[in-house]
Amino acid sequence: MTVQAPWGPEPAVNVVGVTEAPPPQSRTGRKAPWWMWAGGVLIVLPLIFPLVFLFFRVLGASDAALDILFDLRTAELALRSTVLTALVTATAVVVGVAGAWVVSSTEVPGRKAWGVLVPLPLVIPSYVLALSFLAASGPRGTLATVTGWDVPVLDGLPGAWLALTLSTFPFVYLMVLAALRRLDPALEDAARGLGASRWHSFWTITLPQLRPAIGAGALLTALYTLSDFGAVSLMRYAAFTTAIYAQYAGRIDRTPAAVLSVLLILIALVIIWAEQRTRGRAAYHTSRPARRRSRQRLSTGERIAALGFLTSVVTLGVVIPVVVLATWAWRGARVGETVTIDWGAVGGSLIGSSLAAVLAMAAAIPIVVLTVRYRGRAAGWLERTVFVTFSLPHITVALAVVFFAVRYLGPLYQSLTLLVVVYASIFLAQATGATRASMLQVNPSVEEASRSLGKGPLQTLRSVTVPLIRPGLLAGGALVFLTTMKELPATLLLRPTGFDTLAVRIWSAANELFYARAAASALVLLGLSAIPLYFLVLSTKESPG
Amino acid sequence: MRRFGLIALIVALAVSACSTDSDTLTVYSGRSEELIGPLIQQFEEESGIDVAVRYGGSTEIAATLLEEGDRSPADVVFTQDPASIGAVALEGMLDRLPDDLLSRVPERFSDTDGLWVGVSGRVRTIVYDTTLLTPADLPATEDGLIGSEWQGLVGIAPANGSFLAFVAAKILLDGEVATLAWLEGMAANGSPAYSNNSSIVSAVADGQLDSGLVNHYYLLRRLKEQPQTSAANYFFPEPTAGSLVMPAGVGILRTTDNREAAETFVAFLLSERSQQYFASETFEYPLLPGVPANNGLPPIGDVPTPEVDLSELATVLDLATDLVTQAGLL
Amino acid sequence: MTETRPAIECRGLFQTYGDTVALDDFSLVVDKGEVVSLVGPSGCGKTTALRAIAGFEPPDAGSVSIGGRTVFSEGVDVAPEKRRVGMVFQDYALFPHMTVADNVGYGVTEEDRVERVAEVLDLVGLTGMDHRLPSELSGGEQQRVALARALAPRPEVVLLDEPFSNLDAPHRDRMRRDVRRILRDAGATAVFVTHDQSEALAIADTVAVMRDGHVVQVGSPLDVYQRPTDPWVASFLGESLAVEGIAEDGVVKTDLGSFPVDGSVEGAVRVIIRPEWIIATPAANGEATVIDLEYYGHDQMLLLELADGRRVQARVGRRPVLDRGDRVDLEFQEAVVFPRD
Repeated sequence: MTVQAPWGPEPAVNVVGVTEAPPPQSRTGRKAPWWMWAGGVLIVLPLIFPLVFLFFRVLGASDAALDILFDLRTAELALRSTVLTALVTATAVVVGVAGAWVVSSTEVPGRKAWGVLVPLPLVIPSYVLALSFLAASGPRGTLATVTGWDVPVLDGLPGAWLALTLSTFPFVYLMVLAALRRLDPALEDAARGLGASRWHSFWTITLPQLRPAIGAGALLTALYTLSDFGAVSLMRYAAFTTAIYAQYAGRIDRTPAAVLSVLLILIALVIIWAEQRTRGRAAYHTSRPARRRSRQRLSTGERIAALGFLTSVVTLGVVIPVVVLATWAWRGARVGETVTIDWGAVGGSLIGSSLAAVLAMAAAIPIVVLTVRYRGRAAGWLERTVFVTFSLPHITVALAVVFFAVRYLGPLYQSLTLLVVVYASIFLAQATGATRASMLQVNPSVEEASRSLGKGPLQTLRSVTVPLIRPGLLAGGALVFLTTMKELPATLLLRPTGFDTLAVRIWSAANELFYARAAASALVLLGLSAIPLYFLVLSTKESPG
Repeated sequence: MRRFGLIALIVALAVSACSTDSDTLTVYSGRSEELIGPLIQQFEEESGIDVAVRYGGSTEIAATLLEEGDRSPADVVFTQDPASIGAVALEGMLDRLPDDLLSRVPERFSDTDGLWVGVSGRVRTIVYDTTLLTPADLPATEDGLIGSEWQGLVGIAPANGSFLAFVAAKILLDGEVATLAWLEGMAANGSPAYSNNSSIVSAVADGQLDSGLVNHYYLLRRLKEQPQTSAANYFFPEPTAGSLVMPAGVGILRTTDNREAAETFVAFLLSERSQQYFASETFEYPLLPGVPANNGLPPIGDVPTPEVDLSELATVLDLATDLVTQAGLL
Repeated sequence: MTETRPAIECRGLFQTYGDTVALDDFSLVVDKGEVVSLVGPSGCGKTTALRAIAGFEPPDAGSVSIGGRTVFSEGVDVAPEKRRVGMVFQDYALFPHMTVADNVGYGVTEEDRVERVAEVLDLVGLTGMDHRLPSELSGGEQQRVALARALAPRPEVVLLDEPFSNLDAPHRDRMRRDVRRILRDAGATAVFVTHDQSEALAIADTVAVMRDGHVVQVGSPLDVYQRPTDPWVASFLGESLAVEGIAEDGVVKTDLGSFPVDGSVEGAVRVIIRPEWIIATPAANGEATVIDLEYYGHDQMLLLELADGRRVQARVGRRPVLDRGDRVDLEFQEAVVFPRD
């Protein structure tokens, strides 16, 4: 999820969230070595070919299949997806910014613990959040049973809105948190010194400086929401992805699904384009803080408000899902349901996710070096491609890869290799974003020093650049690991026959009403994901270099 | 250290790329792992044959097979409805099964050309909240559900394979026009759309929905986990598409390189033990004569059966999706 | 026959970035063992020239040879790592993840490393700091490490890019002396870039003055200061007063007085006078008034106003003791005369 402003010379913000200074100076210099280009291009090719293929398939579709494009229902679905995306993005920004500000800039009690708890929903798949809200609400839901109140079921637009807000606000939170930590406190202090109220100075001084971070987080949120399938489907909110899935699952002919997929890609591109336009000439203040920010004292009322806010976020995003899952597992076990951990799925998740993380880290190196050091049109396009790839709905990507692989890739079709390559390329933007943040901190003259000391580009990369960008690489790898653990649509379509992951187990068990089994897998998934998340949160704390 | 990691990665990827073992029996299953996983395991233990199963929706599995064509690694296809396996059969991708396997189940549950055989049966029912409705409130056929008194009360899963197979059967029985009218009636009634049968059953059991069109066995599973659930199944008393017994079907790919093992597998599914498993674990109707269904269910002979050639369902499957889309349900 | 080849020879380098011309027929020859300072106003292309020599940015045209080997010309572009050039960066560019010893030993072959690192650290006066990390060093120490690292592989030449600009004044003077000594002790050929003319004059054997992408004058510090080739060089290298005059029969007449001049100059001329070439004598009815003065201890700088309102700076000794408003008479010891077109 890193994602940064990958387009150009402006500073970037990444998903783990670092607002960055532009490199000291634009050094055009020598051309990048060919192997670096080869490495960078090679990793995006596995997705480019299938997408081009998908595009041509749509172009060659029969009129009947294309009819769906002009169907009124299609327009309605596009509208419904847009509405949901707008709502979720707005609330995720509010919750993310408020959460990051309270945790980093005030003296709220238990600050450190909140810092770890608040981003936790990141590891919970959106469909698990949706399932648990469905179980907790309603006339016979957990809440009604415990309290005896008349609780309406939380589904449709409100349900999807809530579940997706909770699963996406950590993007904004993590990025804004890192940006806040790098903010020069002098500016805010100066404003306060000039007599501005705390609120006023936040609004006029702090917020504008957070804009790049907020923009990047909002972009991620919007793209994630647009392409989410699990939560909207469970919440019964008909959207573009559910329509794609319906056309895909309900027909022998897959062309209508392909047509809708291409349309969804276009919507995603419009969002990316819009974010770029509104970014405009935002100022990027990037002075490195000479000292720590002083934390705001809170009055009693404010402290209660802040605590109330953090508590509700953590309750909705972490406590409810975990309690619901634990209840299911316990209830199933009590009636003799076999609630066991499927070690095959645990192994599959771990192998798939770690291979994807390692591959994404390896691929991020050439891409980041190319885009940061050897800027230019080609490097810009490469990075843009990585970013657009990240924004594509996975069902679309997977569909395209299936179409392509079965025809042209022979033994790679349904292989773990192909699955891992697809994982890595879908989530590559997270790795490049985090790595880019580290890379921007590497002084280019350090690499030149190595060159002038007799080391070639490869050796310089190995002994100087890579060790220096390691914090970013690891953070990127952790993010890729986390998201791959949750990944569902691409896994379902592309996995080798017999290959299982926890996400697949959760999905299929819940689909067949085996809630106890679904819960057991989900709890294991959360447990395994919490470890990399912990390191990730840690990594945003210490600013490397 | 890093180089070592990279080498390990490359080796792992290379190994995984070449690990397709030709001795393994590859099964494409439209039936979920939750349902047939234990059965497959049992088969592996008994026969010593390794089985790799690719799970997915039935239509999805069928479409995947058509996409793969002759290059498909699959040996056996196993779907939960006759329409999707029929689509594979229509493409000429299946071989005729040996007569001794076909003859084990009544003829009406298998393909007329013997390209696939029925394994277990499922019946379309209405699941309803017993605190709100009684059987007397429910109509004799699905056509009774489009009345305005059912406004917003009947949940459906329009993208689900079982629902689509039911629509396909209705097209064969009542014609395209009547089927579209029925679907539009459901849409006009604002029937809540769910992603699958199980969410409908959950919604009814949790008091979020009055009733819904589903397959009969989802409720029985829910009752096993949570016996106090106040919901019941209603079987349509008239022989219409709504009361059709849909068999799950299994067939062998023409391109299989493992024919013997494939036949052993099909024979295993039609064995008494497997049939008992369907009766007691998945709560489906066993199709092998003599194996009794779960005692919570009416005997299969009592379910009124309309005159439908199951082999023909596949020919109208995409038309069914067209009509559902046209009615605005997708 | 044993004519030593120049350590660096740049011929006709051109380099443009879009519309900006960074190098415009840049040529420079540096002899073995020579310390050359490349000085010019910011934006004149001096850093670009240095980077072209080091091989970081190949120029558009021209040729570069180092130690007699052509490293850049038509069809030839030797990679930086093969040029045997040591580079000291403005911001030192130490490897932050390596100790001092690892930094210094980075460019040295395995077998020589321990010995060479000790030798070079001794040369720069950092013996015993081997295991420190760059972040644990002061600015001056980092500077020494950077120099040691550049010298360690025994490069053909050492290039220094604004090496003292990150140090504060007292450290800067000391480092300047130390660096000069270290370079001499190492027998190194060095080119360093600076925009500070006093630094350029102080450290180098030879000063190359750059303007608009090419070298306009090369010479000893004394040469370029006392005998600039044009008024621009004259004013760039130090404070100066320019007056118009007419040269005739070995004498230049200006409204500030007359000066003797080399007889070859005739006609309209521009006369450049440096502040320290002016002698100011207190006189009740002196021709100039002291407007302001800066007292430095060892000398003082006077700002004087002439009768016609023109202002002149004069650097005089500790005496005479003057105050604002005092009047002085002026005398000019020396001047440089350029023909005017």
